[in-house]
Amino acid sequence: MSLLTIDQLEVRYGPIYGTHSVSLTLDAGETVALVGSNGAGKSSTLKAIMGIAPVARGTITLDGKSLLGVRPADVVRRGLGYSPEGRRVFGQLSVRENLEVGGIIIDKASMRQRMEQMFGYFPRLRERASQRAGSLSGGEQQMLAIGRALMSRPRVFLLDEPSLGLAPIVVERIGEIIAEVQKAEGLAVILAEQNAVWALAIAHRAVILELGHIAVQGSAEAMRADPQVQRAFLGLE
Amino acid sequence: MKPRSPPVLLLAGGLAGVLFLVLWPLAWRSDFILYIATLVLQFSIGACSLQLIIRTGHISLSHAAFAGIGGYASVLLVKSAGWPWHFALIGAILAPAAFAALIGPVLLRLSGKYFVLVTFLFGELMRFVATDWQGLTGGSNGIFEIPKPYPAMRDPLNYYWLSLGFSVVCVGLCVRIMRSEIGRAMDAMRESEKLTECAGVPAFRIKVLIFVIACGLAGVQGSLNAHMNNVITPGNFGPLESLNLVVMNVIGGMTNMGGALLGTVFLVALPELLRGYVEWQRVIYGVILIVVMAFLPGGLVELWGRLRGLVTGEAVRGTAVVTDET
Repeated sequence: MSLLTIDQLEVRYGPIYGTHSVSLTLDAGETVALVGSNGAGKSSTLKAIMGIAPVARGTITLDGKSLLGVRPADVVRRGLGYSPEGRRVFGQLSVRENLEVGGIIIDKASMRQRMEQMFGYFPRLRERASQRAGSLSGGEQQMLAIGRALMSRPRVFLLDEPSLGLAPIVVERIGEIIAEVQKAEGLAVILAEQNAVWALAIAHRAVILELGHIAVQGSAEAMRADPQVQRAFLGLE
Repeated sequence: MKPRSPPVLLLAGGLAGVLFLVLWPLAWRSDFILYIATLVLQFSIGACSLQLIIRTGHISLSHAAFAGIGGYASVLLVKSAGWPWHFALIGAILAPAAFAALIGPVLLRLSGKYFVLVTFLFGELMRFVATDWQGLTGGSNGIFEIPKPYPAMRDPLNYYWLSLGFSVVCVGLCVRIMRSEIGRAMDAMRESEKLTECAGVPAFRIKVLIFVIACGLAGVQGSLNAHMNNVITPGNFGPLESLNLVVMNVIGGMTNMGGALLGTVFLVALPELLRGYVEWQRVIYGVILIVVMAFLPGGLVELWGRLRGLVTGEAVRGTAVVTDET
């Protein structure tokens, strides 16, 4: 049985569809890329898993138990970490306080240890620990948003559009860190991303969404080689 | 966010302050000043507990009404039921807390201005109830001849010390909450409740819990105040009084307990000291408020920070005012 299973998910905001029918499975230790353009349903899928988007139809289960109707805070307690689109941090809080909020579900002693781990993954955050998060650069804020989500030691990590607006070198670094954390902790990752080249490079499998439907799916390797995908999503001829 | 001062320093500063507050009347006794100081101490409980609610992102215009519920509960338990004051005080905490637990889960779903409006209406409603339920509350004349908590409290100095003790405990509790994990989560919630929920914080449960605690603490103010004045009337607990508690926090910068204390001194002591100029009081208030909001959005505390910044050459940011995006 898969760790996380999504079956025929339909997200609807009143008359507007977020997704029509999205199905995917996720196992421990693997990265699945959700690729697609704006409005394809990537963010809606992640939000539905977190319980902050209205699910009209379909199921989402973690360890075989439904996540539908579970409050976001309890979804986190069940083992999900979420780093939303737009590198959202608590701008008025310091870097350390941001991480502390992310670690609220773990006990005090392991919080300190976990924070040290985060500073190990993101040395820049240690340097800026007592700075206001709002004063960080874009790349640093993205790292903080990721660090905050990882504080609770999630088993499944939902990462929404981490490359948006960042310099290529920062994006590359983020990819390395995700791989590093995954290797160390056996984390399962869903990466929602417009930058298909990058996403397919770091993911094991990929699902390409178009207007709320699944267009193509398969191993990332096969997709990188697929001429149709190359033409439509990778900008290669 | 301002750097948090180390707990040891805070504790030492707090202890020194309390020691001074305990001892000064022994060195120099003036019953008028003592009366004002007692009022300030009582209102500090209301102002600081209201700040707890403000810091979850909600501005309540019914906090004085909850103090009133506590006040009436305390007075009725002592006068009609014949309870000793210390038991009645427990009632004065539990009654508004129970009320808050009842309406909080509904009220706290409202955001921003709607919460303000509905709490305003609730405050008015409580005032109507207190005015019209004459059999219980004595109507608009209120309840007279309220006994002091203990006979020794007839001495204003003793009453001052009693209020000081409760103020220290209640304000200390508020400070403790804000310095805890929950306090951090509250500061995060004010920026974005949804994002805080997604970080694993049960934001709504915390809001309800804090609302209940804060309203319970307001009851302490209500009880102390009623037994000091010997009389309790509905007028003391209307929206205008609630607004005063909000203004105390605005003057103090909304997100700082020290600021709320400063605001309380300002707003309670000033009218008493300006008694000779009653017709000017509101004008002076208004001008001060406008000046503070226009030039010191972080409150009087920011003035201190800026002065210190001038000396040390450090730039100071304004503190964020309550925002709500959900």
